[in-house]
Amino acid sequence: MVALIASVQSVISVGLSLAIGLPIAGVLSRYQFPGRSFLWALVTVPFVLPTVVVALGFQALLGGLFEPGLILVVLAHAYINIAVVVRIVGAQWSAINPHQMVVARTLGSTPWRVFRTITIPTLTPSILASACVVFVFSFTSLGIVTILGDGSTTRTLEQVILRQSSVLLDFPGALASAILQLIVVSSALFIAARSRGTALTLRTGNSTRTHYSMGITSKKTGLWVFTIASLTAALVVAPIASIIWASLSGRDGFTLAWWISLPDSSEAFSRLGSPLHALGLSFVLAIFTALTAALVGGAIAIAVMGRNPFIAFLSLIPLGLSAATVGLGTLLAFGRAPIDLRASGVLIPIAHALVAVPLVVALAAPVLRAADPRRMLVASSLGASPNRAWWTAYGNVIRMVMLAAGGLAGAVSLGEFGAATFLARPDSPTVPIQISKLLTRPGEQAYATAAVLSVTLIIATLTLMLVVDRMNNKARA
Amino acid sequence: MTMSTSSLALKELVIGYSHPLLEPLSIDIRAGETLAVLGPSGCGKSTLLATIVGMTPALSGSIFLNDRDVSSVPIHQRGIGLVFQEPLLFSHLSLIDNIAYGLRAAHVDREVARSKAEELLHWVGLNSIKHQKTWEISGGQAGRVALARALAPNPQALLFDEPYSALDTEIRIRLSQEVRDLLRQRNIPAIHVTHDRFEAESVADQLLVLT
Repeated sequence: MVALIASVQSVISVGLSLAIGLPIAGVLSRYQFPGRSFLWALVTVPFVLPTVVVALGFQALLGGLFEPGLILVVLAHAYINIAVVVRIVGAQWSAINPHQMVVARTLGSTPWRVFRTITIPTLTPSILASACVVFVFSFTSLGIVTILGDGSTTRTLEQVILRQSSVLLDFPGALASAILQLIVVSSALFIAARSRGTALTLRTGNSTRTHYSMGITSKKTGLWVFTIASLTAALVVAPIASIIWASLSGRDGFTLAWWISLPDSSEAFSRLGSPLHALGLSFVLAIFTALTAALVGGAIAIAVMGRNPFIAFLSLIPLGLSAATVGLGTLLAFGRAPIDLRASGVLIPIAHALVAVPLVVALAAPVLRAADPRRMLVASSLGASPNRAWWTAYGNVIRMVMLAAGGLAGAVSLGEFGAATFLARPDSPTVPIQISKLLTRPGEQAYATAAVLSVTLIIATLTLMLVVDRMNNKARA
Repeated sequence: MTMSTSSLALKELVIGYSHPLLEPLSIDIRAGETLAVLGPSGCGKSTLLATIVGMTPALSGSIFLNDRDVSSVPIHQRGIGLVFQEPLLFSHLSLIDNIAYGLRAAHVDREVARSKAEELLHWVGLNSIKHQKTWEISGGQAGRVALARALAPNPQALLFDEPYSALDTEIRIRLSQEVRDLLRQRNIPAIHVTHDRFEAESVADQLLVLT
């Protein structure tokens, strides 16, 4: 029953994500205009923000208009997944040669017929691929449905797994739910992979792989582009601005009181610890995860560089698992005899590293594979030993990629909610858990402190992603 | 197949975006004749084609097709076909459906359109590969399919934008001869843009050199 409820919610989320994402993909991939690169980066922001932060943003922005429930949940899911639709469909859209449209027009087609018979069919595989990915993210949602959901029309299997393992202590039941979820997720990802394959075939089927975009030649087009670009910017910024405002306002207007009281351990935070403590814990965990995931993921990426398909497959398995499933698995593997690490505090970093490693491999492997191996031959021919020649060829790229990978893993750890929910001690929560708990407490201070913590996470996450982007670009260069 | 006996004429045509790129052009191309336009990159060759086909408005002057002024007729109603350097086949469609595309746009019945497309594919000598995907055929074969696709809806004129520059010399010579014969046979006026003097001279009844 929960799987059905989650499927309905996910299908609605997919529909809304496509309705919002497709016009943005069209504008960003087809037209050149001032601020285009900035808008590309901006639409990625919701995707990298921690889910609890997005949930708080929607609560702050639309909480007065809508009760917690399906509407808020699907809106937040659509917000997060704009980037998925824009990136996947936009890549295909920008590969369509505009001259192809001209040819279709000279063959007697109206602009609408060209869109219907050429553009849409060419984009269909990538639309399907992005729809499947959005479905998976919505189906396995935990942070959003916990904070914005109503507990009935928005339930997901993640919530069931969490309840079965944490409240009911029904581990076999939790495992069964996790397996059911895995089957649904794997099926959707399989369809996504097939569709991506078809999309790539259609792209390479065109005579070039260049990306095309064109200038704005008419007032009508200019107005359309301006409208979509402005609405996109407003859409992305509004929830973030609402959180920032919530962190800086009180009953009497502007205040810095909530920021100053971060180290406070008063009644408002009983059995939670001070917000500053949560921040400290999250940052320590992020550093630990960054180091672990960069080292493990980097080693796997180097192995994959040697085209070892088995290691590549093993490293990607956690991608198909939800965060809660990883948390549950970590708890079952390392949280009871003979290996009981619950008191050691390393369970969360282990789970976070498991979540981050596949992403690190996905980031690092293509860059390492693209490094020119002839540099190694040149270094060898100049008398370098095999190890030195290898390091000459790949050392610089590896250094950049490791920094990027560490930044990515750190950002993942900072915002991770699902696995930490299983593993964090109640009196020592991570920041995302602290935020979700504060939102269930009454009072202005709890709400405003959740906003302050969210703003801190937004700044930290965006800074790390900026580092990731710069290092990744340097490594590719 | 229907034969067209049309002519294409440019009267005091001024092309460009905000400023004229060339002096006003006045040219008559009779049915079955080819005008070769020769010139270096950036001289306005492609803009000339874009203006005639209707992608870009003319700054002034007129374009006549069969003595009818088509200067303000929308691109899809102009009846002028265009073949680019790249074949630009629609990769989500079969070869037959690529050729039938223009006929379907003219609301020709699907089966009739496909049957005509098969005839054209046979005519360009590619019947044996009709079941292959667009990305499985060679550049020369794709160029022939693009030509068949442009011819299918019986255009009143055909424009070629460096159509053979991506092909090997041998294929280029053979294909340009075949196209020239075909245009004469079907009485279609054509403009052939190139930066290759040899190619221009081999296809041209008239030659326009732009500098």
